[in-house]
Amino acid sequence: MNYEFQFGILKEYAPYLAGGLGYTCMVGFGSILFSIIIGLFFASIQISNNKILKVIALIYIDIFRTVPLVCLMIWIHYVMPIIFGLSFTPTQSAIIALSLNGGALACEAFRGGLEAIPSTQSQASLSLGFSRIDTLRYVIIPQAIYSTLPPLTNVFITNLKNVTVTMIVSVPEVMFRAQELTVLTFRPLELYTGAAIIYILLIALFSYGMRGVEKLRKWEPI
Amino acid sequence: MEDVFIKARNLTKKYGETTILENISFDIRKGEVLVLCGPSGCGKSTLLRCLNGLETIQDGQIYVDNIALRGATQKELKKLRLRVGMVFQMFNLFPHMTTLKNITLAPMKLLGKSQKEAKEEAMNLLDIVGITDKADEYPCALSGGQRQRVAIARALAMKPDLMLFDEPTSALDPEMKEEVLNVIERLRTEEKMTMVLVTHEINFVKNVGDRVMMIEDREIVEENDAKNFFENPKEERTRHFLKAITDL
Repeated sequence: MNYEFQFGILKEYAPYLAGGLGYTCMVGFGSILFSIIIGLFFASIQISNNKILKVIALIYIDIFRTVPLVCLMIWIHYVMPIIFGLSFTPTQSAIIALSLNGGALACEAFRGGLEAIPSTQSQASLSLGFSRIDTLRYVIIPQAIYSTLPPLTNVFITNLKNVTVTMIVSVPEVMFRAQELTVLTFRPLELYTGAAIIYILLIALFSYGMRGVEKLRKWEPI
Repeated sequence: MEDVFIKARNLTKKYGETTILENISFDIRKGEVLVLCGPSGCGKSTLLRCLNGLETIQDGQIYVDNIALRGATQKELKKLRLRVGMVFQMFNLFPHMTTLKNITLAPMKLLGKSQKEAKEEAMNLLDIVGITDKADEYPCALSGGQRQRVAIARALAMKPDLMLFDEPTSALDPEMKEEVLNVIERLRTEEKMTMVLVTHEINFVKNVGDRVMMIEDREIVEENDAKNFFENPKEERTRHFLKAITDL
């Protein structure tokens, strides 16, 4: 091994690398937001009694959590314009792909959270005279928010980390810039390590934030 | 017959192919305390849950204050449940709400009471069940007996005409049982509350129950007034059951 690490070059290029954080956050947090909306939508369908809607939800989940993200992204960015004449900017394509994928994962997290609330809670609420909707609103969902947080945090972290894949449709986020600079400097190890550190810091900060949210709960399950 | 509050006629309850209760008929009068007993798994809790429509019945009919439960719409059931309080074995308090919120939620959302009014009534109820000092605690900070007393207060806050108790003391330590049983006894003597209790507390039943119904093998084995049920049971199976639970 006679590779000489020159982490010194990071000093010079770090600002340009970190400049990609804006895109990383836009795609990452944008897709998190849409994942929540899609996830809640399909989770509420899954706990409903409508069989047809349930099947649609299942098909959605099975497709979008199994299809490789790279393929999904290429389909949305390069194939949609050919077939449907719909074209998106790289950032739009990236947000759409990550949201479809994250939505399928978030749906399962929400469903798990809702199902984790014992049915005795519904019985108590119904026996007081609440309707099913009111039972969800006052009793089940306020509890489920907290039981959903840990698995949901994993989904969000997956979303953030998957932003690195969006470089294949040329979203100028951190990893894409590391690749750009590598071509320029022939220093892949230093630059990709630098990009990794930026991602690690971002996600660590985010997950500490989520843990803080979990701690907002003033009550204990009984 | 005006004072009959619950009328069950040929009630049959099935889970899929399994018949839990078959062709059961009985009446409960206003102000009466009826105790359901029987070996575990005999369907006494299921029967209790049929009385407020938490379980649907497959045949026969139940009338609660002349409202037919079988075939009732969700809306009708909802309306009925406003008048029927239920207390569960595992309390089923809402863990994300304080004692006070547990009690005031339904009166505020369903009866349209103001927060002030609901809170005043809740404090009165907490006074009756003897735990005013726990008003702002979450259920996790309460003992089992306290939780059950809050659950009773929560049901009473809706000013029900009928209270259903599903083994209210079986998850409690002996001294906590006492706390809860005292509250139920007060409901009988002071409020003349109509109550249906599923319980194994023999001594308590002797004092508080007006009538006892024993259920086994899908049917009512014996229906008797409380005193006779224990001292002079008609049926061999009742004697057998009483021997089994007093031997414990």
